[in-house]
Amino acid sequence: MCAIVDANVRDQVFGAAQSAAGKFFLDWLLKPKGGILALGGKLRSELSDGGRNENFMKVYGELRRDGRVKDVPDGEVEAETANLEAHQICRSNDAHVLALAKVSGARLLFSNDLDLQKDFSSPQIINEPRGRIYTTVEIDHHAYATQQDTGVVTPTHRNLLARTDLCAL
Amino acid sequence: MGLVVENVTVKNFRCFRQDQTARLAPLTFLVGENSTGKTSFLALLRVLWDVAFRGVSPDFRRPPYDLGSFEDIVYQRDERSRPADSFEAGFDHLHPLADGGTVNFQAVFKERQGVPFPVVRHFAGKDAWIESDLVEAENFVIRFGIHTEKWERRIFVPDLFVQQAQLFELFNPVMFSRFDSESGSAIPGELFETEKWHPIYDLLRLTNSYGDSYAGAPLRSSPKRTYDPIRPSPDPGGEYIPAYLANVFRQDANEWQWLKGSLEKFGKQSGLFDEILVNSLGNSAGSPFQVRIRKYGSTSKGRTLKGPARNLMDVGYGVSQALPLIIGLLAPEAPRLFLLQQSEVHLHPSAQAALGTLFCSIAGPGRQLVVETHSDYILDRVLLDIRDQKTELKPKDVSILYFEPNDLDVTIHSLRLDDRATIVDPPDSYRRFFMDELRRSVGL
Repeated sequence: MCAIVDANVRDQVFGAAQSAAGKFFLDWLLKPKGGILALGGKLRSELSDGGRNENFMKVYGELRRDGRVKDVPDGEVEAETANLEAHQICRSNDAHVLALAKVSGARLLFSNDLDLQKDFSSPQIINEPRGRIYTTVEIDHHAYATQQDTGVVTPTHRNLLARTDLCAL
Repeated sequence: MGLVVENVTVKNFRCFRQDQTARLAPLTFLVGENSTGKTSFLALLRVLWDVAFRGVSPDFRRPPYDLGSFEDIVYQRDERSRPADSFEAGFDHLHPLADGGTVNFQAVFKERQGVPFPVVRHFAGKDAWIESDLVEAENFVIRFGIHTEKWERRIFVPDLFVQQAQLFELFNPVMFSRFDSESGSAIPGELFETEKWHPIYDLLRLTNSYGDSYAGAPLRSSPKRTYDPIRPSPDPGGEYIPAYLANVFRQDANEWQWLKGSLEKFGKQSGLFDEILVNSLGNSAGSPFQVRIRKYGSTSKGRTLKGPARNLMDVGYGVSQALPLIIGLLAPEAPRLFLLQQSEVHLHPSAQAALGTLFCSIAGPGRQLVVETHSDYILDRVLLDIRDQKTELKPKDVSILYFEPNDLDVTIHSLRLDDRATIVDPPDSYRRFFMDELRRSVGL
């Protein structure tokens, strides 16, 4: 299964501020028969922090050697990003993440950006199959507020990473 | 020029029990743990090359390889089981003469005088085939066929190892009998139209069509301060390299400039050296000479700070380790097949990566490289150069053969690259050790 890691959870997965769900996600990426990481376009430099994020660089290098990176040419992502922006259908300012999903076929997104989550779940933008969200933010509908990482790996996290159908290509 | 060797098949050889096929490309890497048969595979390739294309007897002990006697080479499951009585190997060859088609070569090896001997050699092209078959102690049958017709001739060969290689040179159509498949008997003296012979002659020409392969080992030559001129004769350790450089330097100014430029380009990319010099200690061709290298420092106001010229023995192991290989690869009269064993030894990662780039620039249909390596730096660089189109090689031009231990046997996986030069669907064990190390390092 092919997944995208958004820049706003980079440190939860690859950095010092690793969350329980972030660690669970990284474990899923690195274990035998684990996940495939989609990468390309602006997100490439966001996640690598211009090559300074040593943990990310190590993980990326090893995943690539093991054939577990869906490495999309930056130009293809940029072209699709421009296409999405021209149609003005995104509520978030992360059209490059959605573009990466469209050209790579990745249908699982780890992100805590609520606008991006809505875009990614929108069948008008991401479809066949629809995108699913892995997140450490919970929405408290009563308080109309969000609650950050609860510090646990939930059944939802486990179920999402156990799926094998979240890939379009 | 077609690719020389592709689709190598092997059965009952060393740790390879099952009949398996390995895809070779212009640039092929052999990867896997120690003692999984990678060097044996290189040695087998060279023997197949010799037996198929050079008309020489097989020698599994020719340096830099030494696979031992027949019983060391043939497959044996475990200490209780009997060793196999033969092993088989072969390959496909894109043959320019055979209508651009593929010629398949297969050999069966059995024990003769304690070492492997090719009792069967079989070449099959699109329209014809030829075969030598040792049917009794000293009797070969040479057969050939065109479509459904078959001819054969029995030849007495008292000295197997000396004469078997030249068997096909004895070929003369007048001396063959047609084999009647209905009666199962030979009909002597029955000739057929001359034009039918062309595909047969194409195959016969192939049996003695190429020069020696290059087999490089991770050996370091012993550098000296001063060399006496000798006639350079290639050896796996590269002892001939100083004499080769001096010969080119003294005899051909144009070739020296080209070779020096190519070497210095690699030297700069790898960080090993910036300049290579031959210092003749006299005016005659028989004068002693020195080989030196120089590193450059910073450049200021158009002037480059140059370090002292140093003898090879006064610089790190990396230079004297790498020079024979680099010169071997760059030499204008270089062979068509290179078999390289752990060429990264003694080299810093940056030099290993530069070696990857050099491999990309050398490999092609006319010059095939088979590289046994444990270096991620070489492999990473090759795949990135292809992904970023910094080389003319395409993903299909690279093959990664992963030697996977499987109990006491080994399975060869031919890994494929996608259009972004990423390995597609490798076996689970392919990077397991590295993944486990990484998981530990990131605290999982």
